[in-house]
Amino acid sequence: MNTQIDLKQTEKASYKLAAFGDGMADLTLGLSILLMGFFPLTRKAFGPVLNAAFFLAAIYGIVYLTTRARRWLGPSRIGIVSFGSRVKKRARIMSLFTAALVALMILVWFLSARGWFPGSSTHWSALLGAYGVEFVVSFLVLVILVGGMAYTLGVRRYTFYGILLAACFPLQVALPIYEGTSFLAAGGIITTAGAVILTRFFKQYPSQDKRVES
Amino acid sequence: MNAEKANPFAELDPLIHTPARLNIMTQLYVVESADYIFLKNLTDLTWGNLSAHAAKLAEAGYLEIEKSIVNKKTHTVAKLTKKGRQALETYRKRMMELLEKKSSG
Repeated sequence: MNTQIDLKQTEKASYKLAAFGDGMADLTLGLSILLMGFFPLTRKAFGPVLNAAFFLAAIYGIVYLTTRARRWLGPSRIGIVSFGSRVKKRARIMSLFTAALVALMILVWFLSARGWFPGSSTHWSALLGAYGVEFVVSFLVLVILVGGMAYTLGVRRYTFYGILLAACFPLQVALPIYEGTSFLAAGGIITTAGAVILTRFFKQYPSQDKRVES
Repeated sequence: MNAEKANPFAELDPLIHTPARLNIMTQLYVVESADYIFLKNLTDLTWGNLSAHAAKLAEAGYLEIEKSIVNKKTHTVAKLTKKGRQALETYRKRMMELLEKKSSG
């Protein structure tokens, strides 16, 4: 009985199912981190300007595809829900915060690609190796977003993702291996988790297209 | 009055007190509206049970049910009315009071 009248938990459970139940958010994050693992290679191959354009386009592509997939899968399997004003307000604040961080990320990528970032050449490359300032900023944006999600929504696996991502950069600097290895590993783990959640989602929430509503 | 003293839980709204209906009301309380697929997933009720309990709640004026046809299928969306919200709040408050009374004395 107690669980049924714990409204905060009920609200969280509804939001978690609607927003994270299908594993698409995990797949988006995992694939973006995986992509970052190729950053040192593509930077060498394309140069800073083309690389910035390539990365922004690729991340946009991942977000676009996973959003389309979610819209296609969600309504027939988990249904449609409209949240109240409190949740909508919270979601709006989170979206604004995300948009501000992404705008900062794009600005840094742009400045860096044009070579306008203060001290971007020798100073930063001595400190960051093949990674540029734009990469570090993008990485910090992801860590802040993932950590924020874990904290505000109580999605436990996101705390693990946050720790995993936070460990990537220092590990990468400390280990004498290909610069993208830790990001490929972290991205691989998160993408696998997303794929497992998606598989479970298919089993747990079969399509209700053939339902008989009375 | 005597019956209420003997069983204080008898004061609770019997329409909401049924687990299935309490579950539906609680799920709808935290959202603006939800369709039957979403409610079915969160309440674990069968289509028949969900439909029957929701109809009873709608009869009492606690729920608003809107049916439409989407892709040649019935799509049903439920929403808690103001009366329904107040009824759940009262039920919840009363239940808390009773549980506190029971645990303290």
